[in-house]
Amino acid sequence: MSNILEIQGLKVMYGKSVAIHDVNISVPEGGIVTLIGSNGAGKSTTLNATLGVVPVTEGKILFRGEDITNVSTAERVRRGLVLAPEGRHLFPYLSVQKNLLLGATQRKDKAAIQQDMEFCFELFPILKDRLKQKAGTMSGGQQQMLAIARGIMADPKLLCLDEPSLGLAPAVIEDIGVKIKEINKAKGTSVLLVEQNVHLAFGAADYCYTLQVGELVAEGTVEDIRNNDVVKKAYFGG
Amino acid sequence: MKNVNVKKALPYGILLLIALAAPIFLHTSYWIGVLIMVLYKVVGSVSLRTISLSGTLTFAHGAFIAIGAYCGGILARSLGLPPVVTILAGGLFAMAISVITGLPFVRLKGMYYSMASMFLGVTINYIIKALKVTGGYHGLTRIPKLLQNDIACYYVFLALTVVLILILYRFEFSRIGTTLRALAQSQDVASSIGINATFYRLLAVGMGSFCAGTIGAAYGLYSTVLSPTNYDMNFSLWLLMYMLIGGQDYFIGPIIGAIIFVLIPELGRDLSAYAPFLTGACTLAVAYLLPGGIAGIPDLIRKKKLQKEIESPKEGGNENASA
Repeated sequence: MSNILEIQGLKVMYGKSVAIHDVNISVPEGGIVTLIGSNGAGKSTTLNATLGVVPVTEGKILFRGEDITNVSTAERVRRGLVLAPEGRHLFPYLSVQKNLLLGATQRKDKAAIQQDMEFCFELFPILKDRLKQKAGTMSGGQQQMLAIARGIMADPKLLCLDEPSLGLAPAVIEDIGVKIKEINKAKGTSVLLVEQNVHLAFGAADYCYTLQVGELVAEGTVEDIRNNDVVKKAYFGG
Repeated sequence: MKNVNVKKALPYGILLLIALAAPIFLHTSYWIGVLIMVLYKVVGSVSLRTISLSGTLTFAHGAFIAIGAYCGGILARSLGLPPVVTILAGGLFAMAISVITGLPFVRLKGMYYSMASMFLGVTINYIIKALKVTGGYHGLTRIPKLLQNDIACYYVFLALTVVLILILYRFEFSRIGTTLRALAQSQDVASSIGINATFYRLLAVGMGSFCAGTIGAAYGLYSTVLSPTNYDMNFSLWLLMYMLIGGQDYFIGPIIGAIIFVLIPELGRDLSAYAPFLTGACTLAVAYLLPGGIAGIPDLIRKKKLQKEIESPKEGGNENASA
């Protein structure tokens, strides 16, 4: 199976401090891969570098076989590499509908956009009820759903999710995990799930990478990682 | 749906009717001049608001109106081109200059963009004063007049204003407008979902400057005299004031602001000396009492009403019981 995303030897520095170092991650076509780690491990930095929001110091990012290390964020999104940011990063003063349509900024195919909109409503019926409501007035869980739906509206080949569990109730988190799998199945979208919540991560993903203080310390199938002592130590402090 | 549209269009309809009827009562050439000045400032302020949709204030707007005015004026004076051509050329030239100069500037965020635009505005003004073709410090005179009849001039101006306002309205309530408002809320989030911030902000700058240059060129043809001192930083600041006092969040805001503040000094000759103080007082009053500007008053009343309903439990209880 070919890889849709390959991150090779990625290094990102903020000024003089190294945020992540020698990170190698592959996401197979149609797979769900998760990247876990505790606070400050460099998960979000990895994701932001992948999207081109922060500059890469060293290393390469390949998307569908092409080097995109120096490609603009807008172009990456157009090619199908899309980020659904953590829930509070919506446009709070715009309606749900406008938030969704903004996700499709780079697309011209009106009929397909409408279809994806319908798909989002099937996935998250609550969004259809709240179409005219301002995004900022919804609950945390609903905002997270909207963030994911907005990602779908960009017609992603690879959907990157940044901590969809953040600040949500356990029942809602479980629901989000199910939805991620549904998206993957229905549209064949590959998923890179960056998570702190291992239950969601392990529940949804097939393959797992573990980051600790800017470095990969373990990788393997979810089963392997679940029983990995290094991970237990990195994560739960022994 | 239709009802909503009618409600939305109503204030504009009323304003248009007033504008159409105004020359019947104010037919002296002095008052026609005032009315044209109102239209001129309305378009200036509304187009300024288009540029600030993406969340940044510009101080160079007056300079782009000047560019349109001078371009139109010079073409009409030295080449004798018809008004349709010179007015359009003024708009296009202002747009071209704004896009070229905007290219490096729109990458700046917030305050820094405003500072850069201030520099740009001052520089353009100095260039106009220094050049020979613009008449330098003394200004450009003997521009052929748009039409000899003042009232006809006014109606041409009104037609042009309506067209430009319609263009800007369509622009704001299109997908582009939504994108610009998204940029105002968070440029980082917008970039992360693939919105090209530079492109969209440049689009807004070009659009706003086109309308500004167009109305500027038209005004030049009406006044027949252009003086660089009329287009200094004060002019840009006044346009900003109209927008802020009228209500930045509302399309109709700058229209209301411009109408009120151009007309205040005209209320009476004796009053005109105090106009700056009156304007200052109004600004303070709006800042303290009406954070949404004058156009925000209906929303403010609606909010207050809603608050009252929530706070009075009796009514709420009854409603629940009946439901």
